[in-house]
Parts: sequence; C-alpha cells; structure tokens
Amino acid sequence: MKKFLLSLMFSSILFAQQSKEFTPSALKAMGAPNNPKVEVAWNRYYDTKQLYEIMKRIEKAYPQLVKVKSIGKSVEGKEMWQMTISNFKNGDPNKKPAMYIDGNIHSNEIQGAEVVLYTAWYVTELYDEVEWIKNLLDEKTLYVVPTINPDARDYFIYKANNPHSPRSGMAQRDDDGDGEFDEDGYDDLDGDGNVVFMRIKDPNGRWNVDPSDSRLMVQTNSGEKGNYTLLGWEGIDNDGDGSVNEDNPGFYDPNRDWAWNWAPRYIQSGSDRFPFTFPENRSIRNFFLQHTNIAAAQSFHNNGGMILRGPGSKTDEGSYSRQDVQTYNFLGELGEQQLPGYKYMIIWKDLYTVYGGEVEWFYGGRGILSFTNELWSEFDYFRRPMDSTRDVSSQDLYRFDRLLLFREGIVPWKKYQHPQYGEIEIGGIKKQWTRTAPSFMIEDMCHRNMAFTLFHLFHTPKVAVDSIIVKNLPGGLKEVTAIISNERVIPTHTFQDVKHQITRPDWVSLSGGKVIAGGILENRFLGNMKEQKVTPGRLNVENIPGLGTVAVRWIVEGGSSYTVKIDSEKGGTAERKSK
Amino acid sequence: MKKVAFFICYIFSTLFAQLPSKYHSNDEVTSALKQFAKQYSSLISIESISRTVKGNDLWVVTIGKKEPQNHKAILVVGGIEAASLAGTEHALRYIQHLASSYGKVDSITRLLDNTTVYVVPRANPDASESYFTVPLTERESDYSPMDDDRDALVDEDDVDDVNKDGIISWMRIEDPRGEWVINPDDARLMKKADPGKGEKGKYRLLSEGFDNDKDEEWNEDPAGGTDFNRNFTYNYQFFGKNSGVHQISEDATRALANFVFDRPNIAMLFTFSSNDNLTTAWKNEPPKGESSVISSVLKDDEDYYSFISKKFGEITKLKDAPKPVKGEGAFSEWGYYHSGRWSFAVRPWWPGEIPKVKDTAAIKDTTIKTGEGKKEEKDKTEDPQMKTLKWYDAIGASDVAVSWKVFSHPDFPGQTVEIGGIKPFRLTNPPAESLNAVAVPYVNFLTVLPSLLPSLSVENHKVEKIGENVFRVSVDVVNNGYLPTNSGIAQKTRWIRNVRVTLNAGNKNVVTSGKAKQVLNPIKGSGGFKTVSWIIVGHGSVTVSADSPIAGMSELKIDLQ
Repeated sequence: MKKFLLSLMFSSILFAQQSKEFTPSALKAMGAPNNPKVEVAWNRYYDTKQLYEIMKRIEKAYPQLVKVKSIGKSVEGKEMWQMTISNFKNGDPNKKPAMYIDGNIHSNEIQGAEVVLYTAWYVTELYDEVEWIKNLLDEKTLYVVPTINPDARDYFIYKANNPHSPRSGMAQRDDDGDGEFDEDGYDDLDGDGNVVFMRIKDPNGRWNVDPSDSRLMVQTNSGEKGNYTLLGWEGIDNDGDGSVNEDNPGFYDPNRDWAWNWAPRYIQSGSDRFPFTFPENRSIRNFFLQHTNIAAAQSFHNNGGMILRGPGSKTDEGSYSRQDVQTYNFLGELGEQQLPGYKYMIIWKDLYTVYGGEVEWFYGGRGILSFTNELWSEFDYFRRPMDSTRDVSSQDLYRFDRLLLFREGIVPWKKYQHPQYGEIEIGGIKKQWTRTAPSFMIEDMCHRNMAFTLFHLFHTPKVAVDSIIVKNLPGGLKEVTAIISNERVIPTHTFQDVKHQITRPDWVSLSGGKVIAGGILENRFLGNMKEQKVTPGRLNVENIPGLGTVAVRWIVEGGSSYTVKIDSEKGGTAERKSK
Repeated sequence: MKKVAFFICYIFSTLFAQLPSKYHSNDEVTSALKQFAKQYSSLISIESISRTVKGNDLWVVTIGKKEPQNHKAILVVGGIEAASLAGTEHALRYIQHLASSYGKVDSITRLLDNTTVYVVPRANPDASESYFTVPLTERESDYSPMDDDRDALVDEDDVDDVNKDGIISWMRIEDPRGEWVINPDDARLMKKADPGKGEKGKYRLLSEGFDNDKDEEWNEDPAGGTDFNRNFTYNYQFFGKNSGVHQISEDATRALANFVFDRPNIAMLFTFSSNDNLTTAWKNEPPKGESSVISSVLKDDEDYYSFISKKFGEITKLKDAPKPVKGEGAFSEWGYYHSGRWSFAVRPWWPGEIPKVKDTAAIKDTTIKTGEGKKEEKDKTEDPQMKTLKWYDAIGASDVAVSWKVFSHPDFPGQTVEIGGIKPFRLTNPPAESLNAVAVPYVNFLTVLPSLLPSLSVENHKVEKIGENVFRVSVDVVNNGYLPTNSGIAQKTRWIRNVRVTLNAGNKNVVTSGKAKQVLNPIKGSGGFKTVSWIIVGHGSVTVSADSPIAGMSELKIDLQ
C-alpha cells in the first residue's frame, strides 16, 4: 500500500513537471504552500469575475473542503458568491462552530476581498501540511464571502473613481434633492483612467506647490497668498445646475444598513430606508438567521490599521457586558501582536459614531463576537513607531511614491481645457493606493489579517464531556454527575445572547437509563442541584463559559453504563460513555 | 394670506347601502375591491403588493385619474392593529364614497382630479382573518414562524378551544398563589389583586388552552409571529414581544414601507390605530439628554397638527376617546418620524357616550354583588374595559362575554378551573350592525384631509427691460394649499424633495444671473410665496415651471418684451 502511494506521488510530481515549463521550488518558505495546486498571485487586485474564478479553482482542487454557492443577488443582479470551508468528511459543516468573514462592503475598500480569498486559499492549500490548520478545519467551519458589494467593486475598478469613491452600492439615489438620480458624477476628463484633482491658477488662491515635491499642493499659511485654487475631483457640471460632481452613483453607506441601533438619515448620514434596504445585506442577514452555528464574525474594511469592535455609539455601551468585553479584549490584544501597526479600538470611542453598522448587528442583534479590521496601516509606509494609526503626512505619501514606487502612484499636473472652468490642470494621487496596499505588501497584509481571524475561529467554543461519575443511591438508583466543558475562550453563548435569549440553550442529555430527575449543579464541589422538572433527560444549559465548565447531575433508574451527550449550536457536539 | 375654504359635503350612512353592515372576511374584502375596480374602472385600480405567510394578498387600492404617481397623494391604512377590524370597514366605505361621488359631488371631483388616494384596507390580513375562523381568536401577529420560548420548537404551544365552544376565552384556576381576583365591579372581568388594599390573589389567569408541549407553560409559543404595528423602525423595541427579529422584518411590512418610499408623491398617511394623534394633537417637547433622536413633533410642524386635530373634532364630533397609545415600532409614528410624511392616526371606534341605562341586570353575571353601590362614583375613573362593557350593557348587547363555567381541565387535576370572560374582539370593535353609522364621521374627515395638501402656482411674473435685449424676469412661486410645500420632518428625513423651479430659456438666449434649475426651501401655505428672478439676454419667450411631487406642477410662459 505504502509503495503504491509513493509511486502515485512520484507519478503526480512527474505529471506536474511535465505540465509546467519550470522547476518547482525545492525549499519551502514558511507560511505558504510551496507548489500550490491553485496558483494565485497575491500581489494584485481582482475584479468580481476573477474572484469567482479563483473560488471555483479552489473548490475544484479541494472538493472535500470547499463548496461555493451564491447566497443572493446584488442590486445589479450579480451573484453573491460564498464559500463554505471545512472538512466535509468530518461532520456536517453547518453543525460545527463557525466563523463568518466578509470583505469589501465599502466598494472602494477593495482589499478585504483579497484578504478573505487568501484565507480560503491558504487553509485549503495547507490543510495537509500544517496540523493546526487541519485540526481547525476538522472541527470548525469557515463561511466566507470575499466581496459583499460586487456591483460597486467592479464600478470602482472599471469606472472613473478616486480612492474614496464610490463607497456606496449601485442603487440609484437623488443625492442633491433635485428629482434626478446619479446625474452628475466624476468624469475622467483626460481619459487617462484616473480621477484626480483639478487646480486652477489663481493669484488669490489659498494653495501653493510644496517645496519638497512639485506634484504636491499645500495650503498657504494665514496672511499669505497662494498661486492656486483647488477645484475638487475631476469632473464637470453634467446637469447644468451650477454644481460639479454633486450626484455620484449611490450615496448611501451599506454599512449603516443593519438592524442593531439603526438610525434614520438625520442622525446617521448614509443610512437609507430601513435596516437591510439593500439586497446584498439582506442576503447576509438571511445567511445568519439560517446558520446559528456562527460563533464569530469578521468584516474587512480599509484603512488605518485598526481592529475595531462595537459598540458603534455611546448610547449602546450598556449592551457590552463585562464578560463579553473580556473576550473581545483577549482576541483584540492577540490581534495587536499579529498585526504590527494595528490598534485594537472601540468604534464610537476611538474612531467615530456609527449607527446600524454590520458588526454591531452581528453582536447586538445576534450575540456574535465580531470585529472590523481597517486594513492597511499607515505604519506600513515607513514602519516607524507612531502615536496614532493616522499620522502619515502628505509629504510622506509623496516621498513613498518617489522612493518606492518610482513616481508611478501620482499623476503629474497637466493642462486641460475645462468646458466650465476654462484652462485648468489635472493631477494627483491615483485611486489604486493610499487606502489599498501597494502590490509588494498585499500578501503580508493578507496573511497577518488571516492569522488574526484563524485564532478567532480557533477560540470559538469547543464543548466536551470531561468526566462522568456514577454513584449508587439507596434503593438501587444511580446518581450520575457529568462535568461538561468548553475548551476555548469564547463562551457557547455570549452574554448578549443569554440576556436576550437569541439562540437556544445547550442541551445535555443522558441515555442508558431512565432519568427520574436532573439538573445543574450550582456549585460542582458542594453539589447543590437546581432541578429542571421539564425534560430532565435533556437539560437546558444557558451557557458554558469560555475555558469553563458546567456540572450536571441526574438521578437514574436502571442501566449500568451511561452516555452523556452535549449538543451546542455554537459549540458543536460531544459525548462520553461512563466506565 | 388667503383664507382657505373647506368644501365639505357631509354624508349619511344610507349612502353606504352597497356595503352590508357587517365585518368583511379576507375573501369578502377581495371581492368588494374587485367589484369597485370593475364598477369604477376609470377611477380605481387594485394591486397586491405582497403575499402573506398564509397566502393572502396585501391589497392597495389606487383612486385617481390618470397617472396617479404624478399627483400628490394620501395613503389610508386600516387593520395595522389586526384585531381592530372597523378600520378596514371604514376604508371600504371611504373608497365607495369617493368612487360614487366622483363626477357628482364637486368637492370630491375636484379633489380626485389632482390628488391620488391610496388605500390599504387591511394591512395584516392573516391576523385579522382570525375573526372569521373558528375558534374565534384575537390575534395581532402574523404567522411568520417564531420560537417564542427558545426551546428550538416553533409555534408548538398555541391556544386551544378547551371547552369546544368555538371561542378562545380565558381560564381561571383557583389557586391561593394566583395573582388575580374577580373584579368586584363587574364579575365578567378579572383584576390583579392589589396588595396595597389588602387584597389577596385567588386565581391564576391564563388564556384558554392546553400545555401542548408539557413544559408547564400554557400557550407560551403560539402560532407566529410578528405584530406589524410593532415592526416599524421608529421607537422599535429590539427583542420585544412580537416585534419581529428586527425592524421591518416581514415581507408585508417591507412592502408597505417600500410602497411609501417608492412614492414621493405620498405626502400624508392616515392610519386607523390606537396611536391616536387626532383626538389629542402631538406636542413639541424639548429633547431629552444628548440624544439626537427626534422624539416629538417638530416645532415647524406642531401648529399644523393642532389645526388638523381641531378640524377632526369639528368634523367628526367624536369625543371621550381613550388615551392615545404611544407606539413601539408603530406604523403611523414611523410615517412621520422616519418616512417624513404628515401622519395622522385615530382609533376606528370607541364607545361614546353611554346611553341611558335600561335594565342591564339580565345580562349581568349576578354571582357577585359587592361594589354595586359604588358604581356611579367610579364611572369617571374606571378603566376602558369597564366603560366598554357598560356601553354594551346599555345598548342591550348580550354576547359580550362568555359566562364563567367550571371545566374539568386535564392539565389541572384536582383544581377548580373555570372558562369564560370577555369574548375576543368585543372591546375594540363596534357591533356589526352599527358599522355604516360609525364610518360616517371618519369618511367625512377623510374627504377633507387630502384637500389640505399644498398646491403650487407660478404667478405674478414681471419682466423689466434693463438694457438692449437684457431682461430681468421674476415670478412668485405661490402655495395656495393649506400645508407648506414641505414639512419640517421632510426636510430632516429628505425622502420628499423640495419644490424645483426650472427655467427653460431656449437655446439662443443666455441666462447671466440665476440658475436654470434650483430647489426652493419650503413655502408656507395659504398664499405663501417665494420670488425667483433671472437676468436673460435674448428675445422671444421663456418658460418657468415649478413642481413638487406633493404640491403639483405649474408652468408659465413669459414673453421677453
């Protein structure tokens, strides 16, 4: 048998060698597959079609680990492709503790999709090589959706945009209240594929050329005249209302469209009709309601190097109990070690107030611990210690462009005859960087962020029946005491879940005898039992704390060997037989 | 300011002869609507905007001439509180009145020529249908599956008709640990024992049913569901009872909300519900704490609500309404605070003045006599249930309550269980034979309400020649309706745009001052106006138009001379 396998391996290597026109690498660099079945270049960004092709290639290479399906359609009718990743031969993936990961809810924040897809690629490629990964996929499930805003991802890639647009999805909105929809967006006036800045020579202007880089504009000091006025992003007054670029596609913020602490526009700009107005978010909502095994969630944004948790607003501080904050802190502080330059932060306190954000619903509405990472830390430019994640100056950006990008990242000023402004100049930073990582740093960003999420998944609850003690009682009855445990940091129910009874309790059942009575021990050493009169053979346990135990006891008639089984929606299942 | 004239043509209940004075089941509502659409095909169309869990249609009736989406509109909604059935009946009579009066009654013809009336007669048909099914069960929630008691079983312990009388009423179980006593003022009712008065509970009180899943809870996981009037975004109670898994979680509530958002011409909502702001007008209150939530009517809008509330009183003469209920996720409050419309609500019925008492002894349970003597003095403070019962007694209605009778209930061996109490639906719905009469004041008010909407007119143009071929042109954009061209809340929520003024100067003329397209801040009603001007170099003529989805459209051709 061994011989046969060896020969099979040998022949497949031969086959691989025949089909390639180069010699595979012999020395494996740590942290990646050496000769992956699915070759993917992690130094570039992909459109939605290419993302889908990579997903399908991974699925084809690892059919026992990956299933790709659509969970819904976007505003423009694109499929929302989702991957389920787990060892399918080791139990139903929908019954294992799971983590959900998505990216790209803000369409211009595109690299979330690459981070998510890298994760899918890495864990499948390394499944057979790294025991830690194998154990993870044997026990747990990853649900990943690389882009949850496919329409606007492609719009960002293919149409006139700057690093900050469109952010929204592609449903049409009347931004300026004139009764017309998306009638005046950016225009790539010179047709070079970039939307950059417009400036006009103006002896009364407030802007000057920076002495360190002639491409950079700086504001004049007070009391000093400048040579230029900046006219905003490249565009014209398309609808003749006297304003330029005032009604771009979209307008809304898909990350203000979630049910927890949702607020209307006059409180939260970017919110729309009601929670889950948009079909992309509604599909994810449905996915969560259908998959109560999801015990962890992660969303990827850019930028700034942040590991963010809720609450999104001060008013919601009360929802975050001490117990859950401890768990958050454990994971967040772990993340700070894995992600140099990233800070673990609270959304409302350390960033800004958000009502109706995605991860707030995961936690507040569904009781699931979840983070948002703001990918690409400004630390990464020159890797020097900073007080804040956001203190990189414009001069630094332009210096980075000169020293490491060899001036590729910035469009130099050039003259343009504008139909409304007259003679102007166009120039500035291209959309492909500053918020997204430059090519040579993408893989680093993907791997480190993946490592953070894999530890989050690792720490989703794992239940076990630790021990069973059987004692004889007078009259031939037996007292069966079982210790059930959770081997990981995240509880089977967060405090938010227990408080609002979001998912069912864990069930601990006994078979092998007739249960007369049963209950939970309030103190496993003293043994006071709190009886559960209804269905004593299947006890309801509200929660098994992280790295904690719960003791249960039954009074049983008959039988000699008993099986105790635990069935937890978020913690999986386990059983043990008494001696 | 011009004085606004109200053209009111009061009607009488005999006009509703076409509709029988009875409660309409879903099938009967559907066929009545189809009949209207057939009979008045040039005026009425019907459309189902959603299918409920039970497969019922959520009907919207559109009443109006041509292109209804291009006219300012009101939306009238009945049955959002599903156990309150009269709203649906009033809505049907309203439709019939408008349709049969069009072309005959001037005020209604004028109204429908430039205003669209949308009506949702029954917002929660699944739940309302429980009035027409046996056993008779009062429901507010739809049938979307819900595990109320989190035991992973869904809808496994509904109420049951234990005594097989076709009615889900109440069970009282004699139990010294119970919290309830028989109401000393009316033996048909139970009340909670008041320890402050030395009262001690004698009964447990449960809705009629079995412990179907043997968990020692009764009827704790009934069929469904979500109460639509608890499912909207404003003041929504997350994890509240029957409030749904989140705001606007149901297909039907979503369809209703989208119906409004999709139609910026809907300026106004009218809802039959207990979230009444017509008998008691909304008042502006100072904001609480740091919160940026708007939790009372805006100062800008307050006076209009007061005026319309006053109008309601004058037209309907309805008095002594029960206290308005402050909504939690209520439709009508969402209508104002989040969809940014004028939004009015009132109960479709409450017992009015109690008729002179005849002989009510016959219909009283006479087992308890205590407290009889105190009745008169308590009348003013007594609770609405008592008042309603008294009203029924006074009109001689005999089918209001099920007499308490002992029943041998298998879940309570050895305990005395009695089944009885107030019948479902009776407390919130008038007797069927009074429906035509009850509808009249509401229908009268509803023919006036949409006539208060703003109405645009471009008037008073001036052309000044300020140079060779140079003209200063100005116009007044006037609002001849009662309400302003936008409310304070619409400015905040931004779902209804402001008045847009467009100058079409032609291809050859040059506009040197003023914008070809501009948006005006709200213009007050009753003749309020804003002046707009341009400087135009050229000759010939220009056209100025002003339009708003909720105030109509007006155009003026102006010669440059």
